[in-house]
Amino acid sequence: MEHSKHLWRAVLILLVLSLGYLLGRGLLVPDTFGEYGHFRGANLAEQMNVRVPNHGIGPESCAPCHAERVKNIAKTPHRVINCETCHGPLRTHVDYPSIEAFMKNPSQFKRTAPMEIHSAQDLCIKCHDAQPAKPKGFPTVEVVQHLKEMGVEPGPNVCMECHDPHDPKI
Amino acid sequence: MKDLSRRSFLRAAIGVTIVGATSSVISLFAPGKLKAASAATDMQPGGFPDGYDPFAHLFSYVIDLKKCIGCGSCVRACKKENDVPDEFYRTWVERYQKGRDRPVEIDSPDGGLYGFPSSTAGTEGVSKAYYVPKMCNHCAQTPCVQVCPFSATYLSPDGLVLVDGERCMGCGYCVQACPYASRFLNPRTKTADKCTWCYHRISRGLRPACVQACPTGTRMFGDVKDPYDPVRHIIDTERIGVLQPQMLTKPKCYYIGLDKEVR
Ligand code: SF4
Ligand code: SF4
Ligand code: SF4
Repeated sequence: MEHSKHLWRAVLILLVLSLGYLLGRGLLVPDTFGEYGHFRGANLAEQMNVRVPNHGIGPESCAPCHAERVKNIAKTPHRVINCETCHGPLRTHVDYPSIEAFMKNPSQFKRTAPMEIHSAQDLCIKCHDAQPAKPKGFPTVEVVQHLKEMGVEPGPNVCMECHDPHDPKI
Repeated sequence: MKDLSRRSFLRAAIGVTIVGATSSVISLFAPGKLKAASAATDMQPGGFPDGYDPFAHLFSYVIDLKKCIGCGSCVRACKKENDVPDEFYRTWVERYQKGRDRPVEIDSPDGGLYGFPSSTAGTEGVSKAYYVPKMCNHCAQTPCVQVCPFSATYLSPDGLVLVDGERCMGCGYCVQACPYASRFLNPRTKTADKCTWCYHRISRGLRPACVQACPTGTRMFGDVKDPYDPVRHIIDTERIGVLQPQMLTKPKCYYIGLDKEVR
């Protein structure tokens, strides 16, 4: 059986090749690849935990400390605005380790810094400046003209002289 | 003399090729390890948030253009929620203005981050004007996923298109492939970046930051696997459009009141 040598040689080569393939594949393909689809499955959980949410859950996250404010603004047209839209993300004001812990008992977390307060120039005008692209029926003013009519000097907090953002009374 | 210089050139060329091939093989074996520190600075511990099953949801987004006032609150909220680098945007707002004798003008100063400048000057003859918020459409047939050579960007079971920062090599193919210019290469992480519909929020039952910040209800987010979801109801009953339908990307961002000029 002199010729069986060729056979064994072929088997050996095939073995080495398939071992090489398995080794290479093991090194190249991450552990959880293909768990949920054609991607590294562990990334799903990584993405869900990429950071602690900076914005809260809406006015409900402010109410434990600012109940009166939240209740009063609900009676005004500005009730549609989330507190954080004007004030900035909650987590710059209260530090919580996870949003789950915060939702369970919001008032247990300490205030770390004052909440952002924007000037009228930074904020009111962004919504209420008259522009052709604004939807019909949305309350806007030609700011320069409006100030002239009202006899008010332009300035950074000029809107607040007549309008309270928490109760705008138009 | 001439021959010699050619030989040394060839030798150098072969050397460069070998070094290049070796380093790319090494990077194939350890894609994450060549990367600088990853994007996450504020990692939460753990696996899936309690009670969240990615197979039980299919998310969609509706934008009602008749309501948008161009205030930019959504862009500001996104920046602050997701720590988006300066001069890059995961979501942005465009302004379209046109008239019978005026061509369409599109502007988006700083992506709408600071709202839009007053238009008291230069709007004569504008007969139609509106704002269009834009972001990643989380397409069901995505060119961005198809071109990725590393399977770093993928379609998740709940319908999002995500980027695995550990596998992404920052080649930028997907940035080129997206017809909506939704992607960018993050200068800090050197990987592809884009809107994730705030996956770290929605997997905890919260709304994306842009949706929560929008004062007019322009932006709506929902789960079409939930039969009582308002967004599913809108998709099922109202006249909606998607951006660039001719690209056949099957976006999951739907627009109410889309105009033919929007692209
Ligand atoms: S909008 Fe662009 S980045 Fe988003 S899924 Fe579609 S092709 Fe990909
Ligand atoms: S830049 Fe885009 S295409 Fe390139 S590896 Fe990263 S996700 Fe994939
Ligand atoms: S927050 Fe809402 S209304 Fe304001 S620009 Fe964004 S989508 Fe439009």
